[in-house]
Formats: sequence, structure tokens, C-alpha cells
Amino acid sequence: MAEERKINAIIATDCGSTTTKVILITRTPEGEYRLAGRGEAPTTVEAPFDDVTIGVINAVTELQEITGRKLVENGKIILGGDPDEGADLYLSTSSAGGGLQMAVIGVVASLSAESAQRAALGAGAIIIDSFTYDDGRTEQERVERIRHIRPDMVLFSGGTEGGTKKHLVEMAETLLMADPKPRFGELFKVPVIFAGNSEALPLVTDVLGKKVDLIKVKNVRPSMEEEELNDAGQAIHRLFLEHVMAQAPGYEKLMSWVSVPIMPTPSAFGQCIAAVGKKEKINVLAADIGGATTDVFSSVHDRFTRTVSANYGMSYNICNVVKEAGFENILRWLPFESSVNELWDMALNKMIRPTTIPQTERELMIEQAIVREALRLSFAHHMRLAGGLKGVVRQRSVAEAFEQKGAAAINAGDMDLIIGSGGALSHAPRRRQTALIMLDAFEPEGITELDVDSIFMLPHLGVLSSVEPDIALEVLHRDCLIPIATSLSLKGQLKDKEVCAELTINTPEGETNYKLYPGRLYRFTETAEKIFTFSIRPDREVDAGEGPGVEYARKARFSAVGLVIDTRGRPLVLPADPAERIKKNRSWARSIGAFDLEEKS
Amino acid sequence: MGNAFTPGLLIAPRTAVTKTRKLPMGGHATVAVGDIVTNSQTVGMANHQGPLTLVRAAEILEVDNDRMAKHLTCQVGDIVQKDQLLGETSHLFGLVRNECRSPVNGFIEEISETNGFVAIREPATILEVQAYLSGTVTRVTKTDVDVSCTACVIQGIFGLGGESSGEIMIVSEDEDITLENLTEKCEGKIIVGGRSIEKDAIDMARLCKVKGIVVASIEHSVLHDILGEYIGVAITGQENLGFTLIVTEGFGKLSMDKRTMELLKRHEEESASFNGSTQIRAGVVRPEVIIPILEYCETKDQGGSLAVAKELQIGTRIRIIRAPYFGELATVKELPEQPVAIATEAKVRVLKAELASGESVTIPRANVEIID
Repeated sequence: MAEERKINAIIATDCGSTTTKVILITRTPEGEYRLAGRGEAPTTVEAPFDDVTIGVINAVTELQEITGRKLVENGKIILGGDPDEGADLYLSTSSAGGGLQMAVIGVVASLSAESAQRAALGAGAIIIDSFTYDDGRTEQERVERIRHIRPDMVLFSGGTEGGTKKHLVEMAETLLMADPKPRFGELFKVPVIFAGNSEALPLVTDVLGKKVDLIKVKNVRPSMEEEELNDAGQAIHRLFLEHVMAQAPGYEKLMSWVSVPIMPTPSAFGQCIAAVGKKEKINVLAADIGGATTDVFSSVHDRFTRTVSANYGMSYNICNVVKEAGFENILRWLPFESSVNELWDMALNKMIRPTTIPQTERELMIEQAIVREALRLSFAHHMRLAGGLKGVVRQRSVAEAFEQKGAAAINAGDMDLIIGSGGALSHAPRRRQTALIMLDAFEPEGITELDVDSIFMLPHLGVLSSVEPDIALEVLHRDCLIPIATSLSLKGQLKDKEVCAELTINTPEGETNYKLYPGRLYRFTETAEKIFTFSIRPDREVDAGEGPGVEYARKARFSAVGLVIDTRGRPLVLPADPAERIKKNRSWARSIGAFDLEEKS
Repeated sequence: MGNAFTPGLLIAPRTAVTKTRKLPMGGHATVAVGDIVTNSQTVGMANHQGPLTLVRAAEILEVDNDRMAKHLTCQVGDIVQKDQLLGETSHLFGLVRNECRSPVNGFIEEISETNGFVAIREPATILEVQAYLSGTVTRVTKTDVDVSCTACVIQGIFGLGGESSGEIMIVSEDEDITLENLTEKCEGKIIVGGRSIEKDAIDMARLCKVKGIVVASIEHSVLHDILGEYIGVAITGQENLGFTLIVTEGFGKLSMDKRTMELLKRHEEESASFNGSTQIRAGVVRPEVIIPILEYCETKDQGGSLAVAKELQIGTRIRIIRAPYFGELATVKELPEQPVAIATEAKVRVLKAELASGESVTIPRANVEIID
């Protein structure tokens, strides 16, 4: 298709909540499609700009300066015609506006509202507030609060089927009085998803019908013993992508510029991940850590799952990560002494000035410690919800309803490939830092390849694949996915061993044998020929991925960091003693080459 | 170079301001276009029905929902007082008695045999909306009243608590606000400190009935003590602290931007309207101090958008907003187009600037704010 249309250049932007990233793909004289450059600028969806296209033009202008190719004229992207300037295609993805901020309404906090919260959280929302009859607030307090929080949408639950109607009407009246205004779009009505007693719907419609966009879904709590979250979850997701996001300032103009419809960033990203899993016939996990949210995708045994942890991000939601993880869990990753005050002050300053970047190594290490926890929490969220978002009506017993248990559909040991993306991983100053963060956060087991989205372009290629799949795949393999390491992680009874495994590396120059000791990280770089084979012989109580004591051999692949052998065990437990922990962190960072830290006695 | 501008907070000695005051549902305006109003003056009001309290009567009386009504001593429409008996049951031949009493004053609005609730509506309340700004009423609709004026406006970076008003009082120009800075003279004032504030000074400010605190910075530990919890997302304004807090620079120990302090000093002893509401996401809301200069607008309303966008150029005055030069003022000397490796080894777009001390520094463009 590309040959027929003779596409010479493609511009693709991703309008994120913090930064607008743009890439330029050009055709080389040899006919290959390669990444020609990348630019970025702050996203301008907020006041005083209120126009996403300003950030787009700023980013493309930066790209123009970096590549030397003329791309912008009269405040617009040059499209079509000239092979030496502009582009033949302009595509865009978007997640601007941050995460999805929802309010939940119910009758009883521990029943319908709790189910509604689970549905909203499962769909990746941040619950800004939950309003129920038993929330201890007066009606006026509820009205004031709803007005203040400016939710993107409201999930209205309450009443089992055949149960209360009157109280739903009362809550509808409260909502009517509050007249909630959305964050975007003066004339836009806040969508209200009604997921309560269906018999109350006509009455609620009478109250709210003209003021809000009322969408009916199945009751999230049809009876005390049942919970039906999927219908509400799908509606939340659809409305966010199609409705809320489209109200963001400047999108009308942006939509008139693009060659194909704007694709939501997570969808575009997921499209790429699913394609990789399918093509390579492997299990893939990918995490995209942004400013407001962390998206986790998995393609495991041909089953694709996406979750959005809407309250874990590295700018707007950085304090949420610190709060949820607990400062001890952040501090444990640092190779130096720090304090709760230093951590919180830094996180709070990042939250209020979200586009700033670390300029000192110390601040970089603190941010990377927070990244580990954001990924760890988001992965745990993904594992919890992986089984519940596939259109299956899930019934829970009364006992389960109070335990909030769910079987994990995937685990770290299933993964053949883990892809890291988002500024914190794609733009880490050293790939070795990215590799260490991913090892610590995901705790892969056995052999797992670690890749990074080189410059955060998976979303761009995802939207490109919708029109030019061959070009997208070509650039994906040549310029996007960068192999950073092959991780071989041991688990089992490592602690008490003197030697937990033996390793043999075969290079064209000969064979070298190593003894592997517990509690360490080893890095083996490739030879000049960039390829070697290795065989691992674990102790009989140690599992290198094929079972306790099972020996195997593999051919290594070339990667930026090389073969990393992790003998720290699973689950990864850090020393409780702070001094010992700092010493270990320094040793691990040094072993893998993440930071040039001197040994500390 | 491209328009790689960085928005700063508004620090305006004189600008047109309009605030839209949303009337309570079912309410009406009490002012007309052209009226001159003070910040505490009521511009709209409504009679608002009282809150509804649900009493789980069936559960309390230990009867099935559909058998609850016959054990009640009240009916729909009855006026009840707090602690008044609503119903009673006896079990085990009268050995066990269950009493259901009203937790509030009000009237019985509903008795639901389906759900086993008795719904009690509390007395109606009168809701009033104040002008917030001292100025002129410029628009009145069924739902809103606009109040406009010409004012000195200072936006903060983060705040807590809602709208308030008071006289500006500088209590500490360069140092932290401490206990010693606070006396009974601070009552009803918006006190200003050029650096941070200590926890015991916060407690004293509350005792002194201070209405607002404007400081350059606040430490996380003090913030935690004030709120009683860690902050997760910066959506604030609903806190009921007894005062409104506005932070102009950030967290930790930072000094106030000299322009901000100079403006506040210039308007000391003048009345200001202030609001700590903050939302740091798309649709950003920043805390503000508004000091009316004239009770009418000299120019047309600027659409309510207070923040400003400017472009980085050689000679632009900037403020650095991240370590290791956090809070320092500088002048842009160079704007290299190609990314440069900084101390973290990250390759980013930078600018070269001269600090007030004369030192030349290289700073990521992302880490500066433009100032006038």
C-alpha cells in the first residue's frame, strides 16, 4: 500500500496529559521506513491555552528544528505534495486531560455504592468522591462537593432490583441541584451512567433527563448476592474515550487536521502489543507509565487484557503513588539515606509543577524509586482485574463480596517479553536503569526478554497500523522496540545456598564457567559478534524457569544491557536493616551499571 | 526556535477580574446590574429544604421490613424532635425491648416498608451566596451573578480551604512565620510570611482566628499535620480548617518571589478576597489573592482566564522551579536548539542562564517559569 501511495513522510503525535510527543517517519533512498526524529512540547489543553493544537504545533516545530525538514507553515502542519517538506500523513493519539475522574452515587455505602466504586475503579477511574445516604453529609454539603469536584462522569447506583426507588429519586434531585460541570466543554452535559434499580429509571429520568446525559446500564447490584460490573465498566470506558476526551479544548481543530480519526492512546498502544504477541506467538506484558495514569497490557495465551491504573502516574498522581505504596516502600529502593520529608516535598513539588524533570542524580533516583512502586502497584492491579474485564458476568457470593477476592489470570512467570514505555522508562538516561526498574517492579521469573519503547512511540505506531500496517511493523522492529536485556531470574531455596547455580557461557573465543551466588545481580555483555549461548545448571532446590534443578541452554540475543541474572530470589525481599539495604541497592545498581556508585562500607 | 513557552502564575499589579457567583438552586439574585457590593454582601439566596436522615427502623426494632409500620408511633407528616420515640417492639415476653428514636429534629417524610427506613426531613435552611469580590454587579441571570472590579491579583501554586476575605498583614518578610509573629492583632486578617510556617504557628494562627495564611512554602510534615492525612491528588478547597492557606512557591523551605512580596506589602492593611481552591490537572484551578483597587472594571473582562503564556527568549527573566537551583531568579543567556546532556546524563533541551549571583548555569527548559 505504501508503494502505491508513495508515502515519503508521516507525522504522528501523541497528546499526553503532560507532554505532546511527535515523531517523523521518512522513507530512505533505499525504500526503508525509518524514524527520522522526535520532538515534544508541553500539552496545552489547560488554561491559559485551552487548545491542544498549540502544543501539537510547538512539538512539531521542535521536530522541524531538530530534523531540518520544514513541517509547519502558518501555524499548521504541511500536508501532501512536496517530497522534501511536510508529510503525506498526519496521525494522532490522545490521552490529554489526565485520567478519568468520577463521582459515584449510591444509596448505601457498603452495598450499591461499593459495587459502583468497584466498577469505576475496574474501568480505570479515579473516584473523587462517593455520595450515599449514609455518608454523614447534609444534602447541601453533597451539592457543594459535587459542584466543586467537576467529575468527568457520574456513576449512579442504588437499590437492588425491586428495591428502593424513592432514595434514588432523592439522590437524583441532589445531583440536579448540584448541576455538575465538566472539566472540559462549557456546553457539554456531564454523562451520568445509571446502574441502579431499573424500576427507578423512569423516575430518575424525569428528574435528570434534560440536565445530564443519562446512560442506562445493568444494575451493578441486582441483588444482595449478585454483582454485575461489566456493563457499567464498558459504558465508562466508551464514554471516556468517545465523549469526555473529545470535549477537551482544541480537539475539534485537531480532528480536522488528522488523516484518520484520532485514536485514544491506550487503544493505539494496545493494538501494537496485541500485534507483537500474536505475531511472535509469545506472552507479552507491557506497561506505559504516564503523568496521570499507568496502563498495563498483557497478551497471554492469546488473551488480551488492558487495565488502567488511573491513580498512579509520575506527575499529577505522583503523590497518590507515594500515598498508596507507603513511603517505606519508596525509600527501600534508594541507594542512599533519605527522609520522609525529602521524599514528600519532592513528590508534592512534582505534583504542582508536573512538567519539571530531575536535574540531579539524587532526584532522578528518588523518581525512579517511585516509578518502581507505580509499576508494582499497577501490575498488581492488572493481575487482580485481568480475569474480570472480558464480558463475563461475574457472580460473587455474599462472603466474597466482603472479601474482594479474585483469582489472578496471569502472573510474572508467564511472561516471555516485558515492554516498558512512558517517559520514566523510555527516557531514563541509561537503559540499564530501565532494566533494573523493570526487574524490581515486575519480578520476572525464568527467562524473560526486556524491551523498551525507545522513545515512546508505540501509540504512534498503533494508530499508523490502522492505515499502514506494513510501515508500522517495519518501524516497530527497526526503531521502536529496543531490546534492553535478557533476564534470567532464579527462585526457590536460594538463601541458604553458597552457590545457587552454575553458568556456562560459550562464545566464539571459548567457554567460561561461573558460579552464581544468592542475593546478587550479574550482567554478561555480548561479545564483539554480539551473540553467545549460555547454559544454566541450578541447584536442585532452585528454579531457573524450567523447574527446580532443571538445566537448560539458550542462545542469548543482543541487547543494550545484555544477559542479566537475578539471584535475589522471588518474591524479592530487601534487607530490613536500612544500612544493609542501602549497601545492597548500591551493589545492585553498580552490578548492572545503572549508576556509577562507589562501594559504601 | 519554536514557541517553547512556559506558563507562569499570574502576578498582576492591576487587572480586570470578574467572578461568577452561582446562585443556589431555586434561589434568586438580591442585587441588580450596576450595584456596588462588598465582598461579604449577599448577592443571592434561596430557601433550601433540610437534609434527609434515614433511620433504619426495621433493623433497630428487629422486625421484617413489611411489619415495621405497625410498630411505629409516628406517621408520615408528623413533626418529631431529636430523641423522640418513633417506634418500639418487645420480644421474649417483654424482657427485651427495642426503641427507635429520631436522631434529628424534623418531620416524617416517608416510611418505606420495602426498605425498612423511616425518612426524616430536617427543617429548611436559608442559603446565601456572597459577592466574594468587592466590586460592581455586571451581570445577573436566573442562575448567576457576575461581580467585577479592577484588582491586584496574585495566584498561588497550592492552597487549602475555600473563599474568604480579610485585611492583609505582613507578619514576616524573609523568615518563617513563628509563634512570636502572631498576636491578637492577627484576628480576622490574612497574614503573610515570606518563607514557611511552623506547625505550632499554624495552631496559634487558628487560636488567633486568622482568616488566611499566605506563605512562600510549607513543609510536607506541616501539611500532613494540618490535614491529618497524606495528600494524593491536588484537588482542594473543601477543607474546613478554620482558615484558608495559600502557598505561592512550593513545598519545603522556599523564599517568596520578591514581586509577590512587594505587591502584598504595597497593599498591606487593605482588604483582600482569597481562595485556596486548587486543581492541578486539565481545567487547572490555582489559589488566589485578589485585592480590589477599583470597584469597577477599567477594561473588559478577560474571560476569567488569569494565567498567562509567554515565550522564552534571550533576556527573558525566569525563575527556576526545581533543584538544585529551586526558587532562584535568572536571566536567559542562550537557548541551544539541540538537546544537551545534564548531570543525570539525560539529553534534554536546555537554556543557559545567569543567576542573580552572576553564576552561569544550564537548566532544563522544563524546569523554569517565565516572570515579567
